[in-house]
Amino acid sequence: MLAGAIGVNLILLGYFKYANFFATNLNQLAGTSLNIGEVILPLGISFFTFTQIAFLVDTYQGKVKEFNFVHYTLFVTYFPHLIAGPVLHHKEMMPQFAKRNVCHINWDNVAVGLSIFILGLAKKVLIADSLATFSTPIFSAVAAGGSPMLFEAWTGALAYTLQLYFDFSAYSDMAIGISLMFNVRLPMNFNSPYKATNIIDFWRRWHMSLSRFLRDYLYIPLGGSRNGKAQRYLNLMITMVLGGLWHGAGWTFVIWGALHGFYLMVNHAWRGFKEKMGWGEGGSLAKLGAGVLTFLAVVIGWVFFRADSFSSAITMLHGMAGMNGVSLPESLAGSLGQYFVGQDWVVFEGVKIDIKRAGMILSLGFLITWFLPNVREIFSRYRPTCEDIDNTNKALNANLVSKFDIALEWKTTTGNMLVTAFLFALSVMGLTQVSEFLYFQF
Amino acid sequence: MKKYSFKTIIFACVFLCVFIVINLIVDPYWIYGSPEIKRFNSSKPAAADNSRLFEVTHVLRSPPEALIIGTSREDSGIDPKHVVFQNHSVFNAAISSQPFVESKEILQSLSMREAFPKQIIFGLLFENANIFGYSLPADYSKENFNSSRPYELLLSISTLKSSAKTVATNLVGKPSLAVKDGFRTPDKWVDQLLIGQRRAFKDNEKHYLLDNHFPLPACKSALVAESGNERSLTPMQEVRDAVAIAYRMKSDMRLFIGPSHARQWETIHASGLWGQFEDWKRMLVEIVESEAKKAKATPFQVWDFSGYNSITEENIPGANEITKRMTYYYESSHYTPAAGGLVLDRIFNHHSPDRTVPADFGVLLTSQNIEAHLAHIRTDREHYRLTHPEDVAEIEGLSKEVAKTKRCKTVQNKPS
Repeated sequence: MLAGAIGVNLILLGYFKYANFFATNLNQLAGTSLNIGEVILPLGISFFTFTQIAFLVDTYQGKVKEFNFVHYTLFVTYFPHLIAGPVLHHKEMMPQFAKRNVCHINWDNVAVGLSIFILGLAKKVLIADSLATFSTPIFSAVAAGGSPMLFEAWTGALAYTLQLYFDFSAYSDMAIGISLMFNVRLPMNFNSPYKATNIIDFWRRWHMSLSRFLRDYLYIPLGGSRNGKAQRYLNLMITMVLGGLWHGAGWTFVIWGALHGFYLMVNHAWRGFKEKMGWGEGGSLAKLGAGVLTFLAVVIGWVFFRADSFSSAITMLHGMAGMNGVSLPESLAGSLGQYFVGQDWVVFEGVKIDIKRAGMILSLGFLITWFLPNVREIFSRYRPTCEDIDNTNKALNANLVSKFDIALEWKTTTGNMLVTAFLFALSVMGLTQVSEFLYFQF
Repeated sequence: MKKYSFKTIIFACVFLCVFIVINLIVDPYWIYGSPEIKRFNSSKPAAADNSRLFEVTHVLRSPPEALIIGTSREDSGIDPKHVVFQNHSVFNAAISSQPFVESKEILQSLSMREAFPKQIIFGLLFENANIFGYSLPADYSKENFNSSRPYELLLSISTLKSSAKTVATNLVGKPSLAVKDGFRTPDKWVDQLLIGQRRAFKDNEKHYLLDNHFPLPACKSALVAESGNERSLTPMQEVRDAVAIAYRMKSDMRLFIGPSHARQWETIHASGLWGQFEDWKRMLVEIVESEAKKAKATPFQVWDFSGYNSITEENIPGANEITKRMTYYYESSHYTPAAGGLVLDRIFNHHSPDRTVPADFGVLLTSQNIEAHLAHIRTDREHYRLTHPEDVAEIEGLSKEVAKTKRCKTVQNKPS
């Protein structure tokens, strides 16, 4: 019965999301000409399939306490999360729907929810979309056959790394904000993932609701870490590969998942080795090094995630490694040219992107991701996510250490109101943008 | 908290109203007809940066009696203030990298309004006819053709940024490259020519040899689909549609192949595209004449300025003559308003008291004279190669240099 119910959910997801991927690969392998035609993806199917599977498994295991049909359908179709998550869990959501006060206007929640929604909208429209003006044309040029040089390739990869975070976490913030206005707290989905100092830590901070689902309903049922190291690594790899495929029907997503599976295997092996040797966590320099290494590993993963094909991803990585050469400003030819005579990999034709603007936007992005508190920390006093319902948020408040962080803590002051209103107006203006004339091929 | 929430929404609305008013007053893209105040908004740098947006929305809001369409060559070469347009409202809607489909869409949109231009000048670029180069520029937007576009732009952060840039630029008194009639002031080229005109020629020719003739990813050039399945709508079909619209609207369209420098034609030959270049001219004549027949109208004039003549063979300054400027060219593809003025003189048969159009500049093409004309150009080309061995050697050298770094390893056409 359980297998049948999960099967029906997966068949629907498989048909709508992966049928064409399957047909294309079958046609290539077997030389067939299977044509399924255009399949329109139902909104939110990736998310509600998972929420339903979780409900079915927990019902089978006797963990479900509530079976109210209205609450169940509301939980599955709850609109704020459908486009980009978080992946909801019945245990957190259905009890909230049952509370009486959910149907009343709570002006505290409206004010906090509205402010979180506005910050999310600003993150998406003002930051993520600005970053996309670099990542999109660079990856498109590579897809069209171009070979980016060192600066262009790194700009494309870093811009996409930040764009994805600001875009995805912004949608989660907007979902959390809208939901809070209805007195319903959603789970936290991002906890400053680029501050992670290892890949295990990264997956505890990135798309947290998905990581939790994959852990509870795939990795642990596969055996988790119970049957020895080899089995644990295999389970990790299966989980991450399927997690990759969930993100999109394409081999680049599979490779991205496998790469993260490999990273996790190395991370677990290293952790075991450290424990065996009796090594500690190291000092602040070691932590910084670990953070940088983790970040670079994640950036390489995103190149596969974003590229339209495996060969495009390799071309980008070639560029990032300097294998497509370096183009320096023409003005440096006089002073540096003599050192590179006969060396074809250095040319003085100028960087083929607006490097000043790219530098400014990337710096702003890194400043926010690495040095500022995240939205949940800023609003921690008001318990914006469902993890906060039963605790006093001491841990989160503790993250606001510097005077600057404390100053950023959200309060209902006139200054905050004006800044929020200004950001809202600016973000609404940002919904209509004019594309600029870009002409670069490399 | 209730008050706080309401205040947030109310102030957001107030800020939005302020932004809209700023955009309306500054009018950075020249589309609302707001008063132009010196040191505030009279110069419009954003109209130059966003010329596609400015020119399309402007021409659709205020349809002119005479319209110029084409690419950046016409944008900076065909001056609407030329005497042949006297007493008429004129707008230069030629834009950088304007594909034929955009030229057609401008005419199509105008045909749906009350006023359609009586006179159309259509500058044609060979590279635009390649079915494998059929990509739209990054700033192309179908929304520009919507009548609601100017209102949407009031509520746009891009317009707000452009407004800020406009005021800042005006405060320091920096002139804009854009002019209200759509003509791009030649100042655009001043910075680019700091490297000297010979270098500008070589850079441009390299670009054509490397990317433009065989654009990635297909690395091919063709005027029509080989097996009929690559493109159902070819760029030349767009030209045909544009011509048909002009016939239908009873407008006088004059088409011309621009007077790029003789060295530009050498790059076409070096890429092995000479035969295709000639086929393209034949196709143009066929389109204009067959559509005229359908419309029961006199065929539009098609002028060819692409031959070898006293203008297109203008000598290029030496590599060391950095400050020396040519009369008719910025680089091999883009011609100056001086050359553009001669083009207009020729196609409107205007006799200016202060200049004479050389007799060998510009030929009116018809199905009767096209073959003889093409043969004539071939002979002229041989003569050019004999009389300009250094230029020819330079192009051939560039071609060999480019072949080493070319990403399109399998070039479809071989030099004929």
